Amino acid sequence: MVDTKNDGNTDASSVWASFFSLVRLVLFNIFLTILFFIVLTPFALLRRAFGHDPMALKKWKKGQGSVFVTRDHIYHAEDIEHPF
Amino acid sequence: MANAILGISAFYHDSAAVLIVDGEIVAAAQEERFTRKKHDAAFPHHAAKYVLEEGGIALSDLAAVSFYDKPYLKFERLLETYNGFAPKGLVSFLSSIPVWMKEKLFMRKMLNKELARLGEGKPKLLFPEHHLSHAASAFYPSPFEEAAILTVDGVGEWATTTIGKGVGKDITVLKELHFPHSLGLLYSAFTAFCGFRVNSGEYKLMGLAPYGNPSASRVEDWKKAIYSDLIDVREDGSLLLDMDFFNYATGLTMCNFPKWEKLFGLPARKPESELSQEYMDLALAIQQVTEEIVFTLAETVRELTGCENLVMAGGVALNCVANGKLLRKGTFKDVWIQPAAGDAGGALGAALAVHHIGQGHERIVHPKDSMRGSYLGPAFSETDTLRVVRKYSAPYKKYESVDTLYTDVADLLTKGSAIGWFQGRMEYGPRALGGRSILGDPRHPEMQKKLNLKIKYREGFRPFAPSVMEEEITTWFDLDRPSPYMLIVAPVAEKQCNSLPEGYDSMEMYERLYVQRSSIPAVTHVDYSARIQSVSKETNPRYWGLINAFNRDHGCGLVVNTSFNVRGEPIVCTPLDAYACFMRTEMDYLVVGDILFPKAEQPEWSEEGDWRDQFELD
Repeated sequence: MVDTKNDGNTDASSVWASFFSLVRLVLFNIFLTILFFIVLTPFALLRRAFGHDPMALKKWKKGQGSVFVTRDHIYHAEDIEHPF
Repeated sequence: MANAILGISAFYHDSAAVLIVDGEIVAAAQEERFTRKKHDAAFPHHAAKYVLEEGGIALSDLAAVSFYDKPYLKFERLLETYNGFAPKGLVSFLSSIPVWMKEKLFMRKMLNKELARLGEGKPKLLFPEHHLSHAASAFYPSPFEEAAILTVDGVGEWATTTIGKGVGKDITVLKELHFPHSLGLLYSAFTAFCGFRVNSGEYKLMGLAPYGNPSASRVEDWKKAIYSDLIDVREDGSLLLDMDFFNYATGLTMCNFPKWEKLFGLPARKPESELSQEYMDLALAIQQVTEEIVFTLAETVRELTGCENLVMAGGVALNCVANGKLLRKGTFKDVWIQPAAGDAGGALGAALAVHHIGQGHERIVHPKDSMRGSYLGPAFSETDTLRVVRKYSAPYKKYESVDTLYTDVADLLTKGSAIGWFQGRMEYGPRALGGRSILGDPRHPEMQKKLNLKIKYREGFRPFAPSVMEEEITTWFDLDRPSPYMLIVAPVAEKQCNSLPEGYDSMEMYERLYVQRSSIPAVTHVDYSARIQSVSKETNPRYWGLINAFNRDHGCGLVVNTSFNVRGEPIVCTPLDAYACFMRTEMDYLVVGDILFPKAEQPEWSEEGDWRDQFELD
């Protein structure tokens, strides 16, 4: 007859596994936060200072003209080849 | 060798799979129907398995698998969003970047891994743009050789709205509106503010709008506030949103609630709380603004393309109130809307784009359309139904003559019964169209209340739709053409309408709702309109046969049609799902094929736990 109950070792290893995965998550989030504020934000602010407006925020309530992007493009086979 | 293409939409919401063979749509289904998880976003493993089986196609037989968007362009948009808003956006950054780093940046690998579960072979993977997938799903199955194309949704890669033109097998994109400026996301933000769930509650917001008081001054005031503070609409219908009021680009919610509360002088409504008149008026205001923008866009589309017919797709094309008004305005001679207009339909468009654009095959245009009534999902045999009979020792009556079945079911409808109607192939898209429907008598004064509260267990204000036989449309509605996919709202014919009682305007919402405003009150909305599905003898002979018997014997050529599910549950797929839903609710009869199950004769239903816990409220 097989004893299907968890032994103490399994319980302990699963607690340690959860603990390490939590630590990994926290460290990864700290890394991403640093990346966001130290790398991405200064870069973004610098680009915006030079007129980069990827979200078209500067066009708000400026005129009546269209804010559509013109494409005038017939789709061809190569347009659907790549994930980019 | 057949030229088979598998279309896939996945990883956002409403994943689906579609199989086309030599350009013909063989099978299409949403994953949620199989997994029983509403709006399931996972890779559509079950749906893909089903469509391949339906077509008798192995994975190795496929010429290509087409995924419905370009993931790297989406990632680029995400990074540019942070570039546009940083130092705002950390919350969104922390939530989305890990998912991209772990999975989505390796989309080819992930798709190949998922496809490997379906069998041997490694078909070529292709990636049309998200809005091309929508445009292709609208144009290629449409009945037009040439048409203007308008797609409007939340967002794809960059595009949130596109204007294009389809001629023969070619699609040209002319104009695009780019993220974060989006009519779909604007409507979703109001959905969230009014306490409904984004990506499913938009339909409820649209259903709530007719309860708004059009003569109330606050409706006008709020419209002005929307135009002046939230959006900047240009003369051609393109628009900008003031992103200080919206949170979806940088956070995890739709809007900046404190700013909205200040703007409208109204707190954000808590989900499931009482619906007061203010939210109905706000729903009316945003519905009217949406319609005005759609009409302006349509004018621009007409001018740019010179086409007399329009096709539409994208989530906003499910706004059937706007669709009906657009049709009546006559900007276009005719309008055709893809029945699976949301993201599920992207799977179809992705496959069709490969066939016509990738492989260069010409179109075959069908005079009605190529969707075959949207009955593209699985059908089940009598053997499957008899398995359910055995499992539950369920008493039933088998009809040898389908005409007798129609006559008996028509009789039961007149007695006020709610009847589950499960026939043939399951519908593709969000609407039940007589394949997986619950039916009732639209003349019955209590039918709307009964269906909402005792069968669907959903909000009492939500309206029901009629299924009317094509030959009887003009008897009941002010509509001059078929509406096979329930995507057009039109007025109930004047001769069927009653005048309103005195003091109507001061009545509470539910009092107003239950006023008998027409001879078919169960499907007449408070503004005397109805969301119409017309039924043709050729496309769905069984459903037409039943309504015809109801008309012949009882003088009513329409029935109430609501989807066969309860709130939060995906529409039923199998006879087993149907029987469980039938037994859990106060439905009176269930018809599966030629078999009728009377509720009164069924053994008591028992199951472990509360079945309501299985479904998250939508």
